[in-house]
Amino acid sequence: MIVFRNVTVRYDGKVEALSRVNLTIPDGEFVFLVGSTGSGKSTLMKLLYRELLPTEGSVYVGDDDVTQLEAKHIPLLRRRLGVVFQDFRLLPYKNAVENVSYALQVIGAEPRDIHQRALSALGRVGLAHRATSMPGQLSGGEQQRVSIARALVNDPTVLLADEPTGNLDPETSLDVIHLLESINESGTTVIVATHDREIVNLLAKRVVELDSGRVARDAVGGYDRQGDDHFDAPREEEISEPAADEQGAGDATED
Amino acid sequence: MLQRTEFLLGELLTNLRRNGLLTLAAVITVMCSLVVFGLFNLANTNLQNILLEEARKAQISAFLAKDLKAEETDKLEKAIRALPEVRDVAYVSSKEAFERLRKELDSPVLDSLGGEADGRLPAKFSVTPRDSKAIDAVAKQLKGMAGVTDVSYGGQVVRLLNDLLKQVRLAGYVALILLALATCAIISNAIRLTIYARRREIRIMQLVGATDWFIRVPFMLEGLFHGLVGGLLAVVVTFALYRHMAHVAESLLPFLRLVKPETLLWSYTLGLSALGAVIGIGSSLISMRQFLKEA
Repeated sequence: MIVFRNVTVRYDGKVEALSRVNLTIPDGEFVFLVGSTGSGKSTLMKLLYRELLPTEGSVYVGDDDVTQLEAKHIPLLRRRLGVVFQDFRLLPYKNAVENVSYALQVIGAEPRDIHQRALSALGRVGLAHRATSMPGQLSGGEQQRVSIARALVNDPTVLLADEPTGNLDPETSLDVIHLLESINESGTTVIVATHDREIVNLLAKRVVELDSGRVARDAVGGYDRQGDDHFDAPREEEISEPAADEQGAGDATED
Repeated sequence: MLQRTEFLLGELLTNLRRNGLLTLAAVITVMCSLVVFGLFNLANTNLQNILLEEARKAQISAFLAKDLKAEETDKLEKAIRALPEVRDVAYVSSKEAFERLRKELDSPVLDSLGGEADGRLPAKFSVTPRDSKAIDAVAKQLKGMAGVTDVSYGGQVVRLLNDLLKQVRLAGYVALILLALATCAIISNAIRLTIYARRREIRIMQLVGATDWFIRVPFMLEGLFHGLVGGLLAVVVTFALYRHMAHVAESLLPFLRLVKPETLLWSYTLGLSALGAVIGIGSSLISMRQFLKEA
């Protein structure tokens, strides 16, 4: 279970990236996090893997309040999470299976198992046959699959994907989303931040829409159904100014 | 374990290869710093040796009045022998004193004086103190004795050497500190560049949950490499220089007994490489600290 309780993030004490967000994500759920650029999607993700501390509020991953985590325990939190980015973040001089292995090597996994585990993770994303290909020889979609395999290789309970289809063409995007869906079906909680409307509308999943740091909508299904368009033109009344007494109360701390 | 070590060594080699020129610069800087320190230390050791030797053979000459009678001389000798700090006393007659001087100077002028010079030099007692530190006290006592006109001893030389030794030692340590700082700056810059070149890897390591220590290890190994290799090269250079300088010094000043390089080789190998290792690891930790804080 992931819980955001009254979470506010203020950058430099002024700009409010998240504003008193309350959100609960049960284990095994698939959630789309949508909203325009700057709406707070990435900030929300960063709070989960403790890249960022909130100015106020608590964030729970399982039983742990990650905002109270000691620095030395942050790596242990991150081993329970898998993170995927828009730009894949593969090491160009390592081939696919080496890139996946790397994630196990650096957390001190049993060296004898690493290769096998990396190969089976590549199998899960359908790339067993490209194990020895270098990232430069792989298509964008394949590279993103390798990065998903890397995120999966340590069997995380939660998979976070920040704009995973941002660099992919629509067809490949769909493949990647279906892959994430199948990963979710095997029990992993999956949170996908995206502004790809097509994809959100295609899958009948829970959609949390952020607008200027607030949860503007939280419902199942794409939200073109209501006929309005939150992505392109957020409604004026939903952009609320932060209350005066909150100004400068604290700083968002990068960690 | 073996495979993990292999992984870390692989990371180290990648780092070293990637900034080859800077690796070279760092290693050479460590080497230069430690050579200077090593030479200072060798100078120190040798001066100390010379000083000890000088102190060991330090003697006081107590010059006797010309009109001193034989029995008075005997009495005086007994009195000097009775002094607790005195180890040995030897009588040097006026004639002997002249012979010694002639031998020392080896000058035809003195030869030409022949026997005429006899008696012009005062007779003396050569007094050896038990401890070179007591030399001043013994000299003072001798000077106060009846029949002794004057005393002279190598106290000034010993004191001078002692002062010089202190200065050399001080200069050595000041040099070490300054050079260590400069070396740290260069190594930590080299490692900062490696860190920058590998920031992607570090970001991934952090994301997948590698501990800060695990992330540090390859960079610490890199610093260790700079320090150790620089230290070992410094030993080679220091001793090559020392051997050469000792050879030149000994041929110019035949009485000079310098410490044999072989006897110091192992302690210097150990000392300089350990010093290099400490400087190397320390510098890498400094630059890592900054980066992990920023990340």
